[in-house]
Amino acid sequence: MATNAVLISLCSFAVLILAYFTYGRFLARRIFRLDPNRPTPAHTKQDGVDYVPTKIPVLFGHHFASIAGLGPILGPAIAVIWGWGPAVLWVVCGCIFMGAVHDLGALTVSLRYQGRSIGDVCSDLIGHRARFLFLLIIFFLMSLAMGAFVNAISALFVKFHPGAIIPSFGLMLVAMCIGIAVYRLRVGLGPATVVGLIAFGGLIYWGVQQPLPTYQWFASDATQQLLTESRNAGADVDHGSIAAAQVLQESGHESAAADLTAAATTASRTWIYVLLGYGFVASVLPVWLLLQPRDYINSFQLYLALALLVAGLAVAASTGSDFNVIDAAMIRDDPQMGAPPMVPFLFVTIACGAVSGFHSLVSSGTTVRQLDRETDALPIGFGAMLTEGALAILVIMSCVAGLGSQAWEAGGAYASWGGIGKGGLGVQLDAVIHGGANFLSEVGVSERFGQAFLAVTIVAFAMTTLDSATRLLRFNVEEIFRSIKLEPLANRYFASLIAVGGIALFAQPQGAALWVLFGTTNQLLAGLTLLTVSLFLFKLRRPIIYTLIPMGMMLVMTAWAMAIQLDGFYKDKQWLLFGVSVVVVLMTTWLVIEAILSFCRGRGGLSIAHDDEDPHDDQSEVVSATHLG
Amino acid sequence: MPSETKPVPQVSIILIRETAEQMSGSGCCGRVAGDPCLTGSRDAFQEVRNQQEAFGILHRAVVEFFADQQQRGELTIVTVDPRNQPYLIPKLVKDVWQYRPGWGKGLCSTLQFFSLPAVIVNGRILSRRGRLLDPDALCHAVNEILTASKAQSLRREYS
Repeated sequence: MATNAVLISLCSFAVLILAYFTYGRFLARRIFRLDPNRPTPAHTKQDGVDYVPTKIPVLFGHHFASIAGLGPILGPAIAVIWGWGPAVLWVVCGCIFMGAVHDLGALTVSLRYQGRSIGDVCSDLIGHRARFLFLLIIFFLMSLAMGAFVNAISALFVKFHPGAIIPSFGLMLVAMCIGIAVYRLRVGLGPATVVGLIAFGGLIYWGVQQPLPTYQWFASDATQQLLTESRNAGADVDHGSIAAAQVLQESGHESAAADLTAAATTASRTWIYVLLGYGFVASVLPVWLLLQPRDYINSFQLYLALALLVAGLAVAASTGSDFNVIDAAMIRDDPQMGAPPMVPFLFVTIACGAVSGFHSLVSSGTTVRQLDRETDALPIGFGAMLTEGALAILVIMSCVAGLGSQAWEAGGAYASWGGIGKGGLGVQLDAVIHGGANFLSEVGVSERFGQAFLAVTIVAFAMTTLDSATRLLRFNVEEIFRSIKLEPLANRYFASLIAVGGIALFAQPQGAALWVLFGTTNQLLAGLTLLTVSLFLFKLRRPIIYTLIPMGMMLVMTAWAMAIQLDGFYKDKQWLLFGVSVVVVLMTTWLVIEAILSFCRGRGGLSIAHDDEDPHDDQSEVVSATHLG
Repeated sequence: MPSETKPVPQVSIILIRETAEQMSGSGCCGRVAGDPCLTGSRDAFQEVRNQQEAFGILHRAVVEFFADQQQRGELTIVTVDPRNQPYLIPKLVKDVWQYRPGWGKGLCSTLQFFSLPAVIVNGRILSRRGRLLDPDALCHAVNEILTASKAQSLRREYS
């Protein structure tokens, strides 16, 4: 019997909602003991700048937009190679028992520490070494993520969607015009937005009509001639180098196809350098000119893409469309697939979408300072993570149902790990784009337009992140040098060089291995945060099992995946990835030692407001319970 | 038991300004600007930060001068990032519907004919072309509304 994608999605959403009202409330009431009457830092330190008491709908919007991005798209898109069942199960269970606990825990601990960031708190609770470990993890995390993004964009531009090039770069010009109009000429935000969004639509149309096959620029004259002839004969060779090479191969021009594949590799590398250069230039431009307005447009793209995907899935269900049928197997455990073992790799491949250490930075750095009441931490911390899980479920459905059965057959995108793993990260994004566009076609958006829209949205997210991450990574590098007392190296030029160099190092085409490394580092950060939360609960004599088990699982999965990866990288002589894996293993070991030492130190030394140590009386428990429903 | 309806606040202030920590595109992997431990308390988005601080003055002025009214639920103040349109648009429509600032002014507010940063009081745009509002001017405007509202309720009581 065919499996119904909408049914699976609805069941997953129902479990997530149920978890919110049961496990979420249990944690909030009994473990973190959120009290609506205890003043939050937003009130005690209210300054209208960072500390602003904010209503739930406002803060939820800010928080969700801060945690949801490219992460919950890429990870699930890779992980469905092991089948849709494990991916859905891990997203749902991971979200409920780990991700949401992690986010809620980080938010609560930071609340009790008067809005201090998790990095700050963990150095307080664990020790000064923990701060250095924290900085180091962030450096690898950001460099790896940015390397993966650059890698994926270049693959998208060359191998899959040359139609996204004009709209992606055109969007920069549109963003700059909006920036000048809104921030300098003081044009109204509404009219500027409407004009900007119309221009964005027009650019996508232009891109669809006029793709830029940049791979062709690097091919020999004879191959170019053949491509032109094929195009004139009506062959569909505008879809990227992979489709073009296939057309040449099918028409018997095998040497030309090989030449084109080599040209595509050169084009991908060239794009990587262009994007790195872009990252550097964009990071020194004034923010109002490009980053601010494009990020503003990004928010519309995120909401629009989400709304269209949900609507498409709903229409597919109501009309009984083929896209409502899951084509992938529930569990794929075929050794011929060549994929690494599902356990532990599934748990590090889907990081954002199930549990992400990055969320602790958003929860503790920004969101906590705006919580109106302590009990709001439940919908914001726990609820937003579950919503991100729902987004990951949609992505999984786009890949396993929206993509069609050919993706799972021989020669398809998910036929083997070799196809998705070593072909660069663009393959997974292409799967999401194709599957998502099929859902969009259910609501009347043409397939090519839908593909371009999703491709440009993903590229825009990645480029804005690249811009801001390059700025922030410099600060991070400076802080690392300061931490190890190497002040002379903590100057902006050297730090910028290290920051861009770090991204460049990982931006080389490494395929899914790069993403797995990123996922592992992200889980390591989640482990560090969960350790901080566990210690906090331990010192307050509260049950720690709910945070300690997720922490243990994060560390075990991380170490296990790294051990397997290390062996593979050594055998394949991939020394860069081998080196990074060694560093990750060392950081994991370090974290385990710090955890043991922290618990051995006992319960003393808690420097939060003393009233928290007093167990809540029955009355305050009742009040909390009433506010949590 | 009679059901208690939430009283409509006499003054609703919306402060629309960007948040430095909100900017970084693809969320998840980039928004670390809010963590001083990572950035050494330096601001990557200085201009936005300056604006945030200037709006902090407005916020503090209102909270300080109208603390009682806020306590009684007569005044609400909310700070929103313009990226949060799913909240902002309904909020603007609701305020215009509730306080009826007039067709033209209401339309300007709901269609967002204001430049950033903006101050909207009872559905009416108070800031001019993105220029920062003087805290005195904001407090004065709020006070006028509160006084007029008080006078109206007194008239209603005696008539």
